[in-house]
Amino acid sequence: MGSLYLKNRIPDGSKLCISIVEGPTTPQGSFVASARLVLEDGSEEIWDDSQVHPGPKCKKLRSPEGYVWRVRIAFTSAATQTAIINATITKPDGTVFGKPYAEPVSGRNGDIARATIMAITQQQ
Amino acid sequence: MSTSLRVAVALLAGFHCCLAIAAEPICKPEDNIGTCWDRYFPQTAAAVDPSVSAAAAKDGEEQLKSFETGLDGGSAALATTTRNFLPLLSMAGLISDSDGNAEDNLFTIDLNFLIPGLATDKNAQLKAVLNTDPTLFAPLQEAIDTSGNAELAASLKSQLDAADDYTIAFAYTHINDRFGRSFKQYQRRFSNLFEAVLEVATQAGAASTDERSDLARLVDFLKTVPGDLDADTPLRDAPGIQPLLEHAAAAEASLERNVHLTANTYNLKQFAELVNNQPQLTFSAELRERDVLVGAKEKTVKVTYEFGLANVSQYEKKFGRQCESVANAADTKARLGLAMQCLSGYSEYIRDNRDTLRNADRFVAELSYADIDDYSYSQNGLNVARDGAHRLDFSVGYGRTLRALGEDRDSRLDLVAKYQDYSDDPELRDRMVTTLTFTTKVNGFSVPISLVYANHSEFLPDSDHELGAHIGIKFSLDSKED
Repeated sequence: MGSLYLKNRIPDGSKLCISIVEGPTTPQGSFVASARLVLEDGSEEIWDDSQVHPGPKCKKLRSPEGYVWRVRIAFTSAATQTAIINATITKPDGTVFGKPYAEPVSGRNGDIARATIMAITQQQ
Repeated sequence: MSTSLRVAVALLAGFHCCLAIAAEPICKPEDNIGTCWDRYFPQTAAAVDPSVSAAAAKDGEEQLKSFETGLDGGSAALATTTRNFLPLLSMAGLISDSDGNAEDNLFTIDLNFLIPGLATDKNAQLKAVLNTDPTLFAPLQEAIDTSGNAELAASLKSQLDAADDYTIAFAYTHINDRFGRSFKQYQRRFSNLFEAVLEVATQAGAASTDERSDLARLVDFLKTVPGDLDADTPLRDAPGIQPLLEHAAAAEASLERNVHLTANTYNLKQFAELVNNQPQLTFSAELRERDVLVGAKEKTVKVTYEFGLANVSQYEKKFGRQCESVANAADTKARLGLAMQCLSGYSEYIRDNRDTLRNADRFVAELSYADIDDYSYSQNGLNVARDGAHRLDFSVGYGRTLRALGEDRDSRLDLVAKYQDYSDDPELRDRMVTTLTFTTKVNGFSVPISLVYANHSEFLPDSDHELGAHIGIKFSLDSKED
């Protein structure tokens, strides 16, 4: 899919959930994950490994607002392993909004993979 | 150059790099939003290009294969200080020997694929050791020699095969907060370290660039777009987005470069080596099955303690768990200060132990107790009987990689000294066995070459001062899961 997940016109009150999981043949302990929500003032809300890996960690989206997450994966294994970055937006009625994000990234010890998630709510 | 100065230089380099990128748009008119964004992140291209990913994976596997751990074959002939719990299947055997003693002709097979439920944390090992050329039990041979019946000796020897002398061994390494080398148990600590890197990179980057305002401008623009947008939307269907998208992407790429530089400057990847040097406490049980022609059956239990000098426990002993406090800081400024403190302590420890980490020094101490069954042979006019015995072994060892032969850790040297105590058996003598093993990689196979010195043989009548040389070969099928 690529490293950018972008959705706009998201209904007010929806929630975005991030979950980072191991690939099919990747054991636990092969990477740590971090998702940082960039706030309006430029500071960041930290969602660390214990919250998003495997997660999900969710945020209720308010309108009008723009939300950006910087997601990073730090790999630790000697062999190349895979992490899958998942993001899903669920509308207030419980149905899924748009196509969920599922991006596999690979690396080994010393590699840092990343993705950016942008969610823009519907203007009132 | 101080660490802080190095970070500053590195961040400045990243800043200049990405200003240049931002000055010249690199997206194509036919791009969609996602492909335009990814042009600013070269590593993303590697991740989505299957050929590049395959090459990276192969490279990683090669690196894993080249990391020589020695050969923990259950034999004093090829003693090592490193027990490797990773292989699903591993086979090793001595292909040459010089002295024909009981350690020769051993063929070792790791059978971890048979115990997936027990080995999910890579902390259990099932192993079979086959003696491919078993010999007659020494006292039996002596009785035959005394009787002068050479034909009987030849006849009995011809009946022997590998099924007449084999050992099944199960090893379990205890995992908790202080013992074990599974990265999973240190994940929380590494996460704290990683968050400290992100904090320093983000805040240092914010001081020198305006990536947040670039990002904010893009978000403001996206709020005003009346139609639906996603990463697959062509740039031409979102008029006005391209310059804002490219500036935001360039700024984000600059930040990510800062993250990488900060991680490298503070030696983040060396944390895996600290984990790999953690103390390992292993409990083993062995059952040696032997035909009556070969000898008595044995049951052995062992406790092994293995450690490297620079490890997570030693680091935390010196600096505490200061990285844990970063996430609990009251505000952004305090968080940066704690993150710097965390990284400074960590990188100081790595720097002070650079040689130790490079050499992968390992020490091992092992205590084992063997219960040897009664032995009785009453056939062919021979009556050979021996009471059961107990044997206590104690060994210490040291091993390290040989960097002088290459930077890829493809060779290591292990020295193990073992004292065998047969105090309650009048026919066996206490002895000291010292093994020097050199293990290297040749075309993916481990080739161990060893010298074994014993101050005298196991049984009383034999001569003193035995010296043997061995060469073996090992093939490992490592799990894809590490």
